Amino acid sequence: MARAVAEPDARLLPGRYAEAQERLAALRRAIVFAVLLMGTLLLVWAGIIAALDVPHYMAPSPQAVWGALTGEWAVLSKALGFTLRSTLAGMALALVLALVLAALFTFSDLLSRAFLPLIVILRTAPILAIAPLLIMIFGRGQATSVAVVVMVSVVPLMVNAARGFRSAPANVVELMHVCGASWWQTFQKVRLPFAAPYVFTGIRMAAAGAVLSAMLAEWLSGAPGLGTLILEASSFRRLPLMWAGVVISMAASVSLYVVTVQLERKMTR
Amino acid sequence: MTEIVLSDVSKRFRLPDREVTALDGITETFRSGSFTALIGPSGCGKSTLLRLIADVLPPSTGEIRIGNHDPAIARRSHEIGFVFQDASLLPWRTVLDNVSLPIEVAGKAPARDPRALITMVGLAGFEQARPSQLSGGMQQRVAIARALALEPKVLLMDEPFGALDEITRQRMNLELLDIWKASGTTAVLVTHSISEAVFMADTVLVLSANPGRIAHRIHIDLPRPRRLEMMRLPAFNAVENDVRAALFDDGTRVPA
Ligand SMILES: Nc1ncnc2c1ncn2[C@@H]1O[C@H](COP(=O)(O)OP(=O)(O)O)[C@@H](O)[C@H]1O
Ligand SMILES: [Mg+2]
Repeated sequence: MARAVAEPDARLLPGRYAEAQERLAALRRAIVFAVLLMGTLLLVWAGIIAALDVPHYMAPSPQAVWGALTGEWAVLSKALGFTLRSTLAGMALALVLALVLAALFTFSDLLSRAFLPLIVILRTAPILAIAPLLIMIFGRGQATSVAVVVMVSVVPLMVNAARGFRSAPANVVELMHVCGASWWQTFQKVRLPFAAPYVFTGIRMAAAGAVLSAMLAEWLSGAPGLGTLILEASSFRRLPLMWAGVVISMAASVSLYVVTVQLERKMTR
Repeated sequence: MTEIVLSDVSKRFRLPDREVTALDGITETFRSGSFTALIGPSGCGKSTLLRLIADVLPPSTGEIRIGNHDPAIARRSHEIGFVFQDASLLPWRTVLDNVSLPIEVAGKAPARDPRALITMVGLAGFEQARPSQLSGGMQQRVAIARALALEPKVLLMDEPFGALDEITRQRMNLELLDIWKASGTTAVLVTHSISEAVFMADTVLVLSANPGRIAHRIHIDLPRPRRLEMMRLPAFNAVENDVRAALFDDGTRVPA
């Protein structure tokens, strides 16, 4: 009877914390690398523009972009605020929707088999194609941006949450049943906590594309965010402003990712 | 009182290509407050039998009564305690919170003080520890304390000590007998160990496989309380040999 002791999945929680720590360290290394790389690129960029005498209407110098960043900060920060609000509202809404859907799919196999493929297929429709419909329903304001972020984020969030809900060990679920627990009690006390690491994976995946989705929505609807600012700056040939917008949107994406990693680290402590 | 009665119970599983008869024609009465051990080759349906009693699965035919009720009623009135081979604890909960889980689920005043239960299974001082900080044997004690939290009328255990070393196992056996005696619960223990079955039980049921049937009933007439020294008595060894003979000589091949 010298069998190995069957350890329960206790490694899950410390593991999650350690993983988040590791991701943060990797991120720090990546940022240092990115800063060095950007610095080099900026130098090369400035050098080429000076050496070849590139006209400013083709490519602005880094100094000009920096000038736009500081000079037009009021305009830029207003646009950034709009885009970030769309992004965060969209992700929050998508998270709630994804958790509810995934819970329904965990509750009923039939629902899952009927609707999961449908949702995944719907998601493959290009946003561009359904944009007129979205604008008709949600108008040319922030609501369309939020809707697009929800549409893009909900699938990775839902798929990961559903996988997480199913990751609860069969014995534990069975034990809850024998204790006379209701479906909701089992869900809340067992499935939800076991799903937490999966949900965070979903959030990280969704965060990567969320800012871009919000900007895409602005290109379609014309709502006053970073996307529209970049588009207009480009069509008016205000290249330094356009590049300033690009830099800010990239910084926003990276920051959002860092925030999700930090959040996971806090919550799995 | 809480008698468990199975009348001509069978359980078939439908697989994609064939049907498996896990249990066939099981008729058995587990007397109120008795201790029964189930032993038999792997795959003979021991776990399935416990799950039928616990209303995890419905029987294909036949009827099960727990204290004159349907198992579903017993389950929903929180009368069943269940211990798995792996402790199946919630890793983010402390020992105390794991033991309190059934009380939270039942939502009524605790039948037993969780702290007293933890002391009873010898884990006083570990109330705030996490499962990952405990050894396998300690985790299994937590699982037993948890199963006892609502003072179950029926205690079902599926190889609860299978993963433990021999010394821990014997200590747990003695503790379990004390707990069983004090609580008056009707206990059913699945085990792979002949000596454990004889040491613990009033009745040892020997199951045969394909289909799972009760091949032998062996009554253990050793006096209680049982003491470890009894395991050296000729009477104990004689009963062990009876069980061994029943297990190996019933015409079915026993996998190694
Ligand atoms: N959920 C299930 N679906 C299909 N077959 C099952 C299921 N549970 C058990 N069985 C089958 O029933 C038989 C008895 O299994 P089990 O009760 O686990 O045996 P034991 O606990 O005695 O080893 C085995 O042949 C097993 O493959
Ligand atoms: Mg088994």
